[in-house]
Amino acid sequence: MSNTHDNHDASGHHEEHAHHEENFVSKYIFSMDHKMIAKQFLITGIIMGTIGMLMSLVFRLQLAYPDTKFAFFESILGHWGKDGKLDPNFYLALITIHGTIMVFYVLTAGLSGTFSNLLIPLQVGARDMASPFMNMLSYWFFFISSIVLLCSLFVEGGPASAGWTVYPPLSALPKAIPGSGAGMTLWLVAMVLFIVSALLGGINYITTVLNMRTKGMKMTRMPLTIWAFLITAVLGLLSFPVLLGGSLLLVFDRSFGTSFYLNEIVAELAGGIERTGGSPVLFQHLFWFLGHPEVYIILLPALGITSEVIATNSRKPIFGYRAMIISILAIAFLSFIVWGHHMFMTGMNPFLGSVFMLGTLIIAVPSAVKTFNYLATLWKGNIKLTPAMLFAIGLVSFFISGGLTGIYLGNAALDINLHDTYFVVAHFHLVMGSAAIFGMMSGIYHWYPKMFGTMMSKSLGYIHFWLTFISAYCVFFPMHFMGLAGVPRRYYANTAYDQFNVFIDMNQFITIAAILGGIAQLVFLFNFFYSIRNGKRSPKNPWESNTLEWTAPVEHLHGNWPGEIPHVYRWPYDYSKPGEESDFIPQNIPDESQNGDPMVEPKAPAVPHHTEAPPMQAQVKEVVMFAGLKRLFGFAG
Amino acid sequence: MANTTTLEAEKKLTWGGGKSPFTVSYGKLMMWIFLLSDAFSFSSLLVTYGFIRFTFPASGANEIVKPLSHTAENFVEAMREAHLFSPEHWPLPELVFNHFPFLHGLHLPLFFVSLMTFVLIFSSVTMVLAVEAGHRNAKKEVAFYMLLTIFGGIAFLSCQAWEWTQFITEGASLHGNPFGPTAFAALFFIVTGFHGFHVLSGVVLNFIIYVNVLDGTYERRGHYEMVEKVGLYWHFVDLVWVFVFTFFYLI
Amino acid sequence: MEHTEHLEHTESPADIKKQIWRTFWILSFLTVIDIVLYFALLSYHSMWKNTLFILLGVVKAFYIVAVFMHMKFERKALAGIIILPFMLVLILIWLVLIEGGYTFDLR
Repeated sequence: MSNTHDNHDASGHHEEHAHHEENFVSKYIFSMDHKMIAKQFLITGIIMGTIGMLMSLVFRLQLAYPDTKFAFFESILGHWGKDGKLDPNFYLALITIHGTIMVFYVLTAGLSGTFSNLLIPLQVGARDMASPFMNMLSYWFFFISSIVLLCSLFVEGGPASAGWTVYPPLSALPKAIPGSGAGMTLWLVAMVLFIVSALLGGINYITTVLNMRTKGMKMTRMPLTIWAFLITAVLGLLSFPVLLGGSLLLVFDRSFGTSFYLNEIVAELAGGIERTGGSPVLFQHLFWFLGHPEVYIILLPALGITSEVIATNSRKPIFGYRAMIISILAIAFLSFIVWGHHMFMTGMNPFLGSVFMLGTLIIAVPSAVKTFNYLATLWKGNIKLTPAMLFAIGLVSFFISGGLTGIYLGNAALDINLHDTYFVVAHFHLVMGSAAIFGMMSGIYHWYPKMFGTMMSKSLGYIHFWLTFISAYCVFFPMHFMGLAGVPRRYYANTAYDQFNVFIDMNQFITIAAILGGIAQLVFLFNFFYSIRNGKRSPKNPWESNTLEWTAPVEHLHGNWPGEIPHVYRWPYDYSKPGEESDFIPQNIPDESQNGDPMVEPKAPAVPHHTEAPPMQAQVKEVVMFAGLKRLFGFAG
Repeated sequence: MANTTTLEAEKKLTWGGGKSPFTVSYGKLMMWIFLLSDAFSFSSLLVTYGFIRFTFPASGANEIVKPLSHTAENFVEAMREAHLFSPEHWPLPELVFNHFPFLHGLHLPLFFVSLMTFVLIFSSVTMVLAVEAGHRNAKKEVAFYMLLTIFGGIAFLSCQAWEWTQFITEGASLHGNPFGPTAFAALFFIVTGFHGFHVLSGVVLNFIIYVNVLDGTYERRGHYEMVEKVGLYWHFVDLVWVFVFTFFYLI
Repeated sequence: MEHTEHLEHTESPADIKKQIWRTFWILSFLTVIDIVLYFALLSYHSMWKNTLFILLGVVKAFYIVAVFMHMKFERKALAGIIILPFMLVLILIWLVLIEGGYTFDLR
């Protein structure tokens, strides 16, 4: 690519030209450029994330110091914090809105919205999304949805308080609890807007990936990020409509007197209502048909980002590229047939319990494939510990420690003990909360130069990582023990029960760790916003990465590449290729054997030969491993 | 042997990027994907219908009223007395949807809804004829068939409005009905309502496209792909009706 | 693009029209069969009757998707990405109906 320099100049000119055409509104607000929409998603997501985190700190303080009065509660929460005591109803509202914000607004829209928008066109080699207009609508629906959700904090009765899963009857009867009134209605409105946004976005992402790849970008040459975003979009597209149907029926139950989710038990408990014939479990089926794929909607983009970041910073090809793709597909498929493992304790048909348990345990297989592939990629790599890399490794760590408890929770019998305890809270906060947040952070640190053209401070990044990593483990790891002892989640004050009094110290420890984690995010926020203007100018390819987005000029232009879109000649993981001078070969560099035809596979082996370990040694290892297994089974027998 | 290699080369070209692997434009692909996702929202409603119906016992067989026979003025009460209508079990659709406009007092199960089905199938045919005319860039034919399709859609909606009116005057509402469990009428209103909403938006879309056709927008553009896209949507609405028809009226 | 310019262009407009009308008659015929069966089996209730009606519905759906929605003439891959994901709904239907039956048993 000798003409890169010329292109660069041309791009500068182009940019200047573009400035004359675009005014502030069309450039920063109603932008149709995917890079700007990505930034809008990210910043909205960060704001929502901050709100969600602050909420968690408020209820963590309540859990750690149930008898202490905090004067500032009254000043910031008004009558919800009268005399410095958190109102129990508002506690429920806080956990509900914290869950909703984190699951949907931060980790769905903020994560996959940001990076799908930023990376799909850039990494597949497209000028923009298939439909930039729908892309803009997708952001604005998301934005309005966020506003509606935040407005629900200020209505009478407070925001929705039925938990982020909004199970009926709490959500179906407006008089059930204070939050079931206007707050719940606004929650549903926000969710419908959110679903519309997710669908508009998802349709766009899928179409762009399938239809608009540049020449030579075969499906098997796509970076794993794109595979992850594609499958994420498919998951969202297929599961969100089911929630739409479920919420529609919920709206009718709430406001028009139907009884899809109400049966005689509920009617009797509520008293004075003649509404029977439905079943609250039905809502749970519809909700979790979305809800479980949603977990992977959150996790898969994070895993995709991690694949890319780990390969780049290990200077090694990703281990098992095809196995990674197959495991993404397997996870996606399995995620649709396991929703009932959230419902073992609802009185669901025990036969279904066994079906769902089987599927759930099978998910461990593709997840383990991914984990071991990450470890194998790191193995003997020339590792560069950038902040992005640290966060990616952190994701792997959380994915393992949270995933392992998933194997316990997937068992219907064990779930009798563990359901709705802090064990579950610990499990999903590690495996999908922390892991996905770390994936998102990894993505932010890695692609920040692509988004803003400047670099974030590395040292602040390290501080941010270590504080967050340590505090996340300190917060969520002790919760396992509370859960095993039977401490239920969502309770306002565990000290109301004598047997849980022993955990008060642990709760205080968790809260202190959470506050530490909150302070760590201040470091990040400062780093993020300060570096936009004052960061070091970024070179074109700061991480020496192979994917196409780094061949685009640093300055953003509408259409991404000045001149022609580069063609793709190879897979994205040609790092440390034997016999090559450079330790990375971008995808747009042709191999001699291809004669300039991007459709031909390059002749040279794509994976470097590992000659360091002689075959003898490998054999010995195997023997040792089998001996170990033998001993294990001998011991067990 | 040579054949397989060319085939393989072709396959590589298909997914090799630089063009659509399906040789459809992004707009059409988007419409397909949207319809896939919309099919899931209809499925969720129909699954709800199935679930709730499964939680109720089936009705006993109807040995009293024969098709084409005259029905009494107090038909619903009579059925209640005969235990064919009861909140305890799901009613027989033949006893509920047995009216036909202008033929009051006759037991005509399924006739009216069959008529509605034909109207919708016919409007699907005119739509696909409009698409076909679009391939030949025959503006007048496209406009003619689009107009027929719009009329078909309006006719269907009118039929539905009549049926809803009939149903409501007999006492059905979202929170009660004289025929059986509350959920029976509620599900009928929500599922046919959701479908009707799709038909209505289809009619609106078709009308916009029709105006554009008359305006010559697509003639200037050189192709009538927009007609194809709304056509896909319109057929999808027809497709959903096939299942609404099966589940609500036949079974 | 050359070799994939829709298959339909190999057929004359008259052929396509013929096919459209043929499909119309097939759909009408199937609907008439629905109605005839409905009256013939009016007092007969069983799972088989319902299965039969659903199968007829699926056949109708096939013709609408294949001919009216043009799926027959598109690439197989497009049919694959639309129809295979839809199969997930079958799992939803299967499991939720089992649950419905179970709820019935509990009452």
